[in-house]
Amino acid sequence: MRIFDPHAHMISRVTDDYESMAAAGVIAVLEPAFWLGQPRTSVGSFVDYFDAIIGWERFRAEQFGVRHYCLIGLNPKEANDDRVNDGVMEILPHFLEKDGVLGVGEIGYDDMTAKEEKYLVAQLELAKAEGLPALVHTPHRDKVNGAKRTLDILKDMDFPLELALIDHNTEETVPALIESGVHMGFSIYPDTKMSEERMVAILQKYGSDRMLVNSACDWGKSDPLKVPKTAALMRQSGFSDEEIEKVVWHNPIDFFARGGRLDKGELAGPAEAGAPEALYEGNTILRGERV
Amino acid sequence: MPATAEDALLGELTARAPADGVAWLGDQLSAARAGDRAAVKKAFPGMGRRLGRGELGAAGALSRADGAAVPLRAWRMDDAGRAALIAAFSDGRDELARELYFAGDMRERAGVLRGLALAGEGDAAMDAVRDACRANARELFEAAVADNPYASAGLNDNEYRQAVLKSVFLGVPLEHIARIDERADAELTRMLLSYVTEREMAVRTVPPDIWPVAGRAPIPGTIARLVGYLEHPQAAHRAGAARGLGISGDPRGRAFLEERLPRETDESVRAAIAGALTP
Repeated sequence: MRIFDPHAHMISRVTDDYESMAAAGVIAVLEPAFWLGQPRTSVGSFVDYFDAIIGWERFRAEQFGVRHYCLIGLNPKEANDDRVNDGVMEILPHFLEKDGVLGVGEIGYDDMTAKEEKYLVAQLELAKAEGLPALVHTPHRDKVNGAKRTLDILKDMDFPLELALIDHNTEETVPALIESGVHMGFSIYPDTKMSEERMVAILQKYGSDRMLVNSACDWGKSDPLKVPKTAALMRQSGFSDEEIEKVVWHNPIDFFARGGRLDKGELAGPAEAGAPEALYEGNTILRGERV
Repeated sequence: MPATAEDALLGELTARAPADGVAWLGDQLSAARAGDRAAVKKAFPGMGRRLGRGELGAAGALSRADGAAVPLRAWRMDDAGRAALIAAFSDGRDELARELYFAGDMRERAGVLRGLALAGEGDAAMDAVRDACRANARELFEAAVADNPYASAGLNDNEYRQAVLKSVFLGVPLEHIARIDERADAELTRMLLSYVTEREMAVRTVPPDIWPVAGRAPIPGTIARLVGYLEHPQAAHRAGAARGLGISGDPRGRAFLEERLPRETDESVRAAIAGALTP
């Protein structure tokens, strides 16, 4: 089973995670830009963070045979922070041009403030102008309203809905989105948001079109193997291999390929682990084995 | 002959890169010529996607405005696109190149260094070169040091010597370093021979292209060392030592060269010895 995890904050994970993900069939991961668990105090911290998820993280993943892509964006929490918001908007177009960047994200609402909306719209305009997909998450609180308001904004600004992925869905948000044409992401967490069992029930009820499953693994309590675990439960629940692969492989790839940055040919090739002695700008993931 | 360096690079790319990428680059070059700084900055990162990242495969060299040759042998397709953009942007070129370097990933940085090699003017972008000289990534270091007349003119004596020594360490051919014949000095010879000593103590090898450089500015002990390597089992070392002795012009080497010549069976070494014996 081939797996593309379309939402994983690998910068927060250790190399053991890459190893077990690769062993469980995760061939590619997509890392959306997000916050760090505490606020950044300057735009320079964003520059370094973007550089890290575009460069070093990609190298780390390759060492385990995992292809790594990313999304670049100003997250909703820090959209509220006047120390950084305008400055980050200024550097986004530059970073969106970088290799390995498939689109804009993750953006959206957190507290549904006016500033969050301002920068959500500005970033959607940027994605629209570049023809790139956008990953918009739904807020932790007041989720259904957040999902509806996100969809209204997309429609108001004539955003191509086939380039929109609304993430962190639940049983409550799906009815509001299912007819719209947007793609729907589901983050499977150990305790909160969504479980494998609930995910399988949603797929049984609504079908697998435009449905994406991710681990959203980050610095919090989360599990980078949630996509393979969901795939396993789908199999136990009677889903065919084709249908499972549609959800965990083809759906995310077909969606992100719409931006023209994802090379399907590259993904079709065998994922080979990088040479252990390989260097990234002179640095290596080896410890104590080189002089 | 193309009118400008960027036209020449566009010509090289037309033969090898995807047509839509070349057409796109043509538009970007027009914007760069018109002084559109924002367009250059936007075009810079995505060059590899549009033109490819493989070897350019151009055997020749371009000429800088000051006449220095810039060989294209190590360039990649995206290097050519980026260097063309930098060459096409004339008002504040060095400042823009510097900015692009420090905002770039490794491929972008290498492209900036190629652009500077071709069209860098003053000192404004030299700290990009100095940064690359300190890099551990061979690809980046090589773009700064090899086939780069801009770097070779701008580095001070100590920086230049350190760059040569690091080239030896990383295996960058010394003959690819611009102006090495004129900038080699006694202090560089001392550093190179000290490195040779260190390697010999560890029973490790050194690259044979050290010898002609050491011969440019011999210090006490250099000629003896060259004479010793004239009997090395590897032909490349014998040839290098013969060239070094010839370049030094030291009369003490002559008898050893004459003594070796009749015993020498390798043609390349024979040619090197013959050259060294010719005044």
